[in-house]
Amino acid sequence: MTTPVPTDTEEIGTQSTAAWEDELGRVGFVRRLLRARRWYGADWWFVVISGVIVAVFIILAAAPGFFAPHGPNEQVGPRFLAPGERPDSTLLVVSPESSVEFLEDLAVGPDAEVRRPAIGVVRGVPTAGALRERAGEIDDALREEASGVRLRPDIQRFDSAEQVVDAIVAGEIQAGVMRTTEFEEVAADRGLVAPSDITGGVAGQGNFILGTNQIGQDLFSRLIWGTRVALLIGFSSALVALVAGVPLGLIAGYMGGKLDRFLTVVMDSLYAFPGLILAIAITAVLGPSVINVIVAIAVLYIPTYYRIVRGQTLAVKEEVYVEAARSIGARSGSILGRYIYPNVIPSVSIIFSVNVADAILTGAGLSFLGLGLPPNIADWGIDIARGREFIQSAWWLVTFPGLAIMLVVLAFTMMGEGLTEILNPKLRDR
Amino acid sequence: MKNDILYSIRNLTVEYQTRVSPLRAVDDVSLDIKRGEILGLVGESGCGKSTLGKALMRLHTGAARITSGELWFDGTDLMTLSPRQMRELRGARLGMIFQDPMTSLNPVQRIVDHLTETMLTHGDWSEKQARQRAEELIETLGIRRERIDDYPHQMSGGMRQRVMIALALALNCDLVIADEPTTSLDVIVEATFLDLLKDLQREFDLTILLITHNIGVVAEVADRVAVMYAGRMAEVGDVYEVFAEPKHPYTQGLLRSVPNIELDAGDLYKMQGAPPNLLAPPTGCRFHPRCPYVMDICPIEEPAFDPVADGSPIPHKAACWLYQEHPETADIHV
Repeated sequence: MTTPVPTDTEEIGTQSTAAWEDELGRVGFVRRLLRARRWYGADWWFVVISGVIVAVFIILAAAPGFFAPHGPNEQVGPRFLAPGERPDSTLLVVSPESSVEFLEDLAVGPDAEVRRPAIGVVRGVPTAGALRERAGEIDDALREEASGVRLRPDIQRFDSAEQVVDAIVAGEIQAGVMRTTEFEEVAADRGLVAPSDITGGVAGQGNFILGTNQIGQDLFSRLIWGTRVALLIGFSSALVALVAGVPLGLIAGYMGGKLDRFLTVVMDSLYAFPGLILAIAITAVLGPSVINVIVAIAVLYIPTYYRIVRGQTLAVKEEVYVEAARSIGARSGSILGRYIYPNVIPSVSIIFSVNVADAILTGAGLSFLGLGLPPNIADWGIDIARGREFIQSAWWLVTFPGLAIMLVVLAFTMMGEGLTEILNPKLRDR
Repeated sequence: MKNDILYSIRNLTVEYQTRVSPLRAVDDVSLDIKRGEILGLVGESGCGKSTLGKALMRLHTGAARITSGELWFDGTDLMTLSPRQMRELRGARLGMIFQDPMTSLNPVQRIVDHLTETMLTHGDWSEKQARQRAEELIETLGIRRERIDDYPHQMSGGMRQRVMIALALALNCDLVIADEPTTSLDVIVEATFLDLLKDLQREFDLTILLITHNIGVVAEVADRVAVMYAGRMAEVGDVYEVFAEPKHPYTQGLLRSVPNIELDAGDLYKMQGAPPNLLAPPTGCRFHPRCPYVMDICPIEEPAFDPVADGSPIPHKAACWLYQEHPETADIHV
């Protein structure tokens, strides 16, 4: 093949391309993000901060068991412990090999070798009195049963908690009774366990940063476990809506005609229906489960994607490059997939982020109303609903889940809007 | 002789659906395109030349529709083909170059993907072969091989227009329809581009329909020229003959309206009147309201599109009563 007119391409190559456009094409997404400050003013750190927050939430949701000190439904402490307050109950302390879980387990029948189990207390503190009182109650109840089983502990007094611990380790006494603080300072290091407090309640141990709720669950742990459901609902429903809405919008916009009119009427009626009410109706019909909530919320957002994609498709369809594609005999599938879809999808990625935020909010709203999620799942909406009646006495029960919802929604929204500006330079002068 | 004609347009009418009434952008046009020629199609904006160009590939969608006519391409009437058969012709045998190279390439697709798409759609090419061919092709067109992985926005207007040609050349299209290919290029790039087009035409034995409003472009590269006015053919003939001796008053006016460095600004000919509204075109000859030689017959009856000069090897036709026998107006009963 001969070269008919070799012109100097270098010279022509740069003349009509604006510098920023060229730059935009060459730099990758990450560098574009880093350079955003220069292009979009001071708002760039909005994106960075919200991106970091979103990342943190995603990490928490990925491994809640790693970050949360307790399980979502574990009753680990006294009830209504305020944020940061140390639990202070009277614990039953035993060696880890012991099968004793409650004070009642120390009661013995008439044939037992040791009729009076030895329990150690620290001299001069109120724990001894509390123990005697509680043991008396249990013994009274046992006596009424008249089975011969009795609880008459041999309460031995020690000078310090350390001596009680030593005695348990040495096997001289079967159990000890001490305050939570003493247990944590002395006994926990020695491998002893505190399965319960002497009233039979949950042994309150550890630090409850955000306090505990009305059934002694750690609020902080529940918030972390709740991240998982919130993000799952947010991402999945936005994704399901996207997967359904985008192809419908593409096809309707590209094909036009009766199909387009039919789909548009359906989508507009969905859109006209109040969102939360529609979601309530769908979950009420489907019944409580995470998947049903995802489906219900996804249905709400399908019209959002449909509308945007259909509108964009109508516009892109008229572009010369689509006509050019037809002029080289490209198939309809190829025109949709390679010419229209990639030029439409940037606007979709922006609504996706905002949609995730909205879906989290709607999901929380649904579970606040007691719809959608089964009660054994840790969810912020459920936590708020349960804490609502204690709002005056235990403010933290509604405040922290509420803050979590606000933070995650705000972060997703800000990230979405920031990305809009970075991905769409036409908006930057607005 | 018959084999000489690659594309024969017979009585083509294209209508746009408007709210008022159908608008005939192309009205009963017949035109032959000979194998291996460059045919220039000129006319002012809105005269239907681009609509005609698109109609040749049956590319119209939406409001535009071919309402009647035949499109004989190499022995087949394209109007009888199914959309699928038509699609197989596009890109393989019929190619098109668009007006604005800035918008006629997909912004999110690399140049190489544009080029290989034609080959992969129509031919039995492996991806590697197609890429190889694409590289050779753009090199032929004066673009360095390495730039094949660029995105369209990284190229200049002239380069993109050359990519568009490469698209048409990829499978050696028989007919390339170039719709105002140089309108958005500056004069230097335009000149290079036209030279290139002419060289390629010779080398690949292309037939080109060059649609333009720029008479200078036609004079430079075309073998024959067809002049359109208000949806109809006004004149067609050898480019030298038409430019030396324009027959139709519209062509005469058009040629005199071209700026010339030897003329003072005031001397430039200005055609009187304005292009007609195609929703309600003038009766008879459509040019009569603006024609300096208007006769009684002109508003009443439409002239035929007939040969005007004998003896020339290439027929020179014009649709004008000046060169045709016509009855006295008094004899016509309206």
